[in-house]
Amino acid sequence: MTVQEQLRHRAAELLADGTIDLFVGYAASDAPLKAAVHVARTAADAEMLTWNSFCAPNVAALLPKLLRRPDGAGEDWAPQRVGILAKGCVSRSIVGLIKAHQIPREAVHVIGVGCDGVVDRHRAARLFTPAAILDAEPLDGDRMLLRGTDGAERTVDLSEILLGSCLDCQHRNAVLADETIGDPVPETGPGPQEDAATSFAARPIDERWEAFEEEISRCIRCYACREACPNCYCTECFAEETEPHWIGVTTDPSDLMLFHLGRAFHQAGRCVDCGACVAACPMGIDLRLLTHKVNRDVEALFGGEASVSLDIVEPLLQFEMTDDEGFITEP
Amino acid sequence: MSNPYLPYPVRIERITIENDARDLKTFELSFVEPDHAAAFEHVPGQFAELSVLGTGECPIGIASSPTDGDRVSFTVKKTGVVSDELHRAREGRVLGVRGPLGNGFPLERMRSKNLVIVGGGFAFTTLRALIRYVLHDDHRSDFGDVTVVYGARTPGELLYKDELDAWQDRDDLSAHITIDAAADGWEGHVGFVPTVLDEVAPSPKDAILVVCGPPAMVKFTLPVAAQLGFAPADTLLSLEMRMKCGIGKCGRCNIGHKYVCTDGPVFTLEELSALPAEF
Amino acid sequence: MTEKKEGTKPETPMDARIVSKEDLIAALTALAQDHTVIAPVDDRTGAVFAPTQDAAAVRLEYRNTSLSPKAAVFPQIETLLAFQDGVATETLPEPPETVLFGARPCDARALAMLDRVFQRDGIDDPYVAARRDRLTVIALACDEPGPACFCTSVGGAPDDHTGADVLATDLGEALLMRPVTERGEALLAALDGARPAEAGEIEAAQERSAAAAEKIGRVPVPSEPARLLEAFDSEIWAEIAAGCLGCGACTYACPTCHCFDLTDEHKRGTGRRVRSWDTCALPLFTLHASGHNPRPSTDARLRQRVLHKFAYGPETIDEMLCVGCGRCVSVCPSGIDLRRILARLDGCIAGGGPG
Repeated sequence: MTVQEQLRHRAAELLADGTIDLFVGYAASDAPLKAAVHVARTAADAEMLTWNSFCAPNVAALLPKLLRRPDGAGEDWAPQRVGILAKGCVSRSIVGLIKAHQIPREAVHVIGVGCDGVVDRHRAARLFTPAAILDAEPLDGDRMLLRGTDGAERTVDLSEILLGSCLDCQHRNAVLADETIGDPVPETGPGPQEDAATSFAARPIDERWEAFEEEISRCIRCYACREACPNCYCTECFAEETEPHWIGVTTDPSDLMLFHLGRAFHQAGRCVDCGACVAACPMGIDLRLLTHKVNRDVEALFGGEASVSLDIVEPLLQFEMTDDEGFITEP
Repeated sequence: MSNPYLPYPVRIERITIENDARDLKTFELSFVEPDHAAAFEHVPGQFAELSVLGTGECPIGIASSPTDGDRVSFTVKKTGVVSDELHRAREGRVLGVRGPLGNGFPLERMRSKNLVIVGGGFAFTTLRALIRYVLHDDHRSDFGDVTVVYGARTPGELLYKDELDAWQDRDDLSAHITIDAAADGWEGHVGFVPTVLDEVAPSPKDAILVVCGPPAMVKFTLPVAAQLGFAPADTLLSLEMRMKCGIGKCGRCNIGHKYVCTDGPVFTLEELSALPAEF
Repeated sequence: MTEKKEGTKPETPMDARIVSKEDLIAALTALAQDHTVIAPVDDRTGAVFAPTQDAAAVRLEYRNTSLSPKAAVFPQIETLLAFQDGVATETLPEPPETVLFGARPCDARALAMLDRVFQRDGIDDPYVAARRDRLTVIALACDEPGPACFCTSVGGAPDDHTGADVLATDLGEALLMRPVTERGEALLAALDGARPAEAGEIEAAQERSAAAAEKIGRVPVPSEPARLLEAFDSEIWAEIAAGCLGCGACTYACPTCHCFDLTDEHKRGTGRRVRSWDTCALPLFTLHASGHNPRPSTDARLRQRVLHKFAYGPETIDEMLCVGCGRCVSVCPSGIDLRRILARLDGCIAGGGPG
C-alpha cells in the first residue's frame, strides 16, 4: 500500500471502531499546488484523504477550536476524539498545544508521517509570472511538471519550490505519534535558508530595518498568518484589543511593524517553523524573516528547540536565576 | 447631500444619573449649530451614532421625543470603550451625533390604534421617546388607549423615575411599573415583565404591541403576547446589533438581507420570522 | 435577478479603435504626466495593481492579481474625519484624474457593483463617489481564463464591459479599444496613434473572447437566490466550513467585498476617524458589547459570506455580489473552494431542502 492508501485505510478503521470521532488531514483541491484541509467523519470522507507535497497547512491549527470546552458546558462534558495526520512540524505543534493546556493529550490520536517538504505556491508562481500556474503534476525523482496559463511547461526539482522552512527542517518525522505510516524520512541538517538567515542577521542594522520595513509593507492585515498558526489560539488577539488599544487597525508602517513584531515575539520559544504562515499569506511575505531569527535567538540564549518533547519545559515557560539577562538594556 | 459620516457637534447640557449602580446616565445635548437642530428631525424609535471624538462612536436609541424641542437626549449604559469615556464626560463637553438613523416606529399605522408598550431594563429608552410623543398634547388624541408595562430588577434600576411617577397621575394612560422582587417602600407591581403583561392582559383588538428589552425578557414576553392574541404583524420589536456606519454600508448589522441600521431597528415579528434567526 | 451577459454587441467600426502596443505604452506614459495611472505590474505574487509612471512596466499577459483593484475607489485605509481640539472636519479625498488600466472585466463589473452598494437608498458615500468620479476604467478582455475563474456562471463574460469606460482586447500586435462611455470615448479620441478598427478586427476580438468563454468552467449558481435560504439551518455549513481558519484573506482579495470598520485614533488634541477594510470572517465583526455574538462559529460566518454574495446581494443591489474572479479560491490557505460550495448547495436545494 502507498502511504496515502495506508492513511485512508487507518483513518477509516479508527473512525469505524470509534477510536476517533473525526480525522483531520488533507484532501485534493481544484486549485493548483494546494491541498485542502479536510475533516473526515465517515469512511467515504476518509477515502478523500491525501498525502503529498501540496499539504502545506499546519492542521494542528484546527485542534484548539475542535477541542475547546464550550461556555456553560456541564461537568460531564468530554471533548471529541480527533485523529490527525502529523508531519514533523504538525506533531511539534501538537506537543506545544498539549503543554500549553490547549488540548488534552488523550483527545488526540496522532498518525505520524515522514515529510520531504511541501510546495511554496508563491515561489512556484514566480517561475511563471505574469502568467499563472494552471496545474501541477508530480513526477518521479522528486520533480514536478508545472503548466502555465501562457501555455508554458516547466519541469522543476521539488527543492526549487519548497517552503523555506522545509529546506531548513530538522524534524521531518513526527516527534509524537500514536502510530506512524510510511518509512521514516532521513533527517537533514540546517539547509540553505539557514545560511541566508545568518547572513541577513550579519548585515548592518539600517539595512535590515529597511528590508524588514519593505517586506512588511506588503501586509494587508488579513490575519491569515495568525489564523494558520497553531500557536495563535488566543480568543482575543492583542492586535484587536481596544482596552488597551495596543495597535491601530491600519496598514500604516507603524501598525504593520508592531503587529508582526508583536506576533513574532509572542511566538518566541514556541514557533516550530512549520511555514504555515508563509504558505497562508496572500501577499507572499517572508514572515520567517522575523520568526526564524527569534527562534535562533531563543536557542542561543536559553538552549533547546520548541516543542520536541512533552517532557521538556520550554525555556520561556520557566526561569533560572542564572538566565542570561544581557539583552536588558539600561533605560 | 451632506456627508453621512460627519457628526453634528453637540454640547452636553445636562447629565442625569438614572440608577443606583450609577452606570446609566442620560445626556441631554444641544446642537452647537442651530441649523443642525432643525436638520435632526427624528421619529421615536430612531437612534443616532454618538461620537466621542478620538475614542469612537456607539449607536444609542434616542430617548427624547421630537416634541421635546431642540435638545436631544440619550440614555447610555457604561459598557465598553466609548460609553466608558462618555461616562467620564462633564457638562459643557462637545460630542458628535450622527443621525437620526434607522426607521423608527411606524407612527402612521399606529395612529388611531391602542398602544401596548412593554419594556425592560435600559432598553426602555426609545419606548420613553415614543410615550412622550404619544402623550404630547398635539398627538394624544391621535392614539387610542395607551398601556405601559415597564420593569427593572430593583426600584433603583428604573429609568426616568420622575416621569414614571407623573404617568401614574395621568388618566390618559395606564402605566404598570414592576420590579423583579419585593422591596421596601415599593407599592407597584412585583414580578417579571411577561408575568405582569399576562396579569394586565390588554386587549389585542385594534392594538399595536411594542416590545423592547433584554433578550431574555423578549423571549418570555412574546409567547404571552401571542396567547393574548396579538398578531405577529402587530407586534413591533426594536433590535440591537453591533453597528459601525449606521447607514447600511459597512455590512455588519444584517439579519438576512435586512440591515438593522436602515431597515430597522424596528421590525414586526412577522418580518423577523421571514428572516434567518441570526440575531 | 442577474441577467446572463452575452458578449458585447459589436460597436460600429467607426467607434472602435486599434492602438499598437507601442502607441499604447506612449499614451499611458503621457497620461501619467497629469493623471495617476494604475496598472498591473510585476509582483512576486504574479501581478499587482499599482500607480505606474513607466508604462513599459505594465503587464498585459497577467491572468489576474491576488488583490483586486477595488482600492482605486475603496482604499483599505481612508481617513474620513480629522479631529482637532474637539472639532471634527471631513477629509474628503481630492483625487487626481485617475486611469485604471488593464482591469479584467470581472473587476470592472465589481466596481459597478460597489457603486450600487455605496450609493443606494438615498444615502451616498461621498468618499467613494469622489474617487469614482475621477476614475476612467480601461478594462482588458480575457483570452485565457485563470485556474479558478467562473465569471460566465455569475452573469459575466471575458469581454463584459459593465463598469468600464473602455474595453480593450489584446489582438497580439495591437489592442482593439472600444469606448463604452462618453468618458471612454473622450480618452480614445485624444489617444495618439489610434485608428478606426475594421470589422474584421472587431470580429477577431469577439472570437478570442468567445474562445475564452468556452474554456471557463461552469459552476451551478442558484437561479432563485432566495432558495439558498432553505439551506440556512442545514448541517452542510459545518461540513463546508470544517477547514475554514476564519482569516480574512478571501474577503480582502475579493473585488466585491465592501465591509468596513470605523476606528478613532487620537493623541493629545488631534486625531482621526479611519475607515478600514473589515471581514465577516472574524468573530469580532458581530460581537456585541454584552458578549452575545449572533454568528458565534466559523460555520455561521462562512455561511454569512456565501449568503451575502448570493442571496442578500440580489435583494439589496438586484445582483449577486460575485463576479467569478476566483481569487477567494486561489488565496484560501485551507483550500476552501467557493465553486465546490455552490455545487454542494445546488445539490442540497435540488434534493428538496436542507440535507
